[in-house]
Amino acid sequence: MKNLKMKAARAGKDLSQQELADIVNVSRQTISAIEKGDYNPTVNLCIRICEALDKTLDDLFWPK
Amino acid sequence: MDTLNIIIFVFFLALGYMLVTYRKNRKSEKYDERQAVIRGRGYKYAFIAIAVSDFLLLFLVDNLNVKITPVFLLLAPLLIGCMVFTGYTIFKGAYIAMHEKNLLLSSITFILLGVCELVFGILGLIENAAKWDHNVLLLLFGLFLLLVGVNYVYQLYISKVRK
Repeated sequence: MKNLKMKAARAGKDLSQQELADIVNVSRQTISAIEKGDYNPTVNLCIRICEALDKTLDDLFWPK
Repeated sequence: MDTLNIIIFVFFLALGYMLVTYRKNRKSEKYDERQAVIRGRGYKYAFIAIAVSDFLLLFLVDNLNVKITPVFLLLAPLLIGCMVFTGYTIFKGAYIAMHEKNLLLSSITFILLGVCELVFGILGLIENAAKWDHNVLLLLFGLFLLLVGVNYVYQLYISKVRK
């Protein structure tokens, strides 16, 4: 399932996939895979992404 | 120069280059969690490919009495396994480590070595078709090196486009 909330949050912070990847210390392809729904990140990575985008886990990763 | 000596020479050249760059990049080279999972699966598929090729070669030698040299029997499955691992991890975007440096130099090195191996292999096949197994090994090795080099070039292009 695509993670459009994360993509919107990233766009809201005006960050490219590469920039977000550098902040959370993963590859750009991993960020792309998470946004496309091709990869389920670990909780630690989810937390790092939430911290980078100033959002909570519920905001970005809880399915509606 | 004998085929096996050429492969060994190129192998040690590539190994020497990797050792020189390894110390420089050791701190920065790292695979993220997704890449680690993909590489684990890649090792599994490479192992399966090696086992299947070994079985096929055993069948060819034992049942169909095809004459294959020990060098080919040893190296061909290993090269096939390397190519399976490399192809799978490249396709899934897990071959190149995060923050890997010197991509341009690496790509040029691998492409040049790959082209040399392919040329040696093709010339060898043209000169002496009877010694096909040695030259097929050179072709496999050249293909593997080209695959890696072309991947580095592709990653450079993608990172430029996405900037």
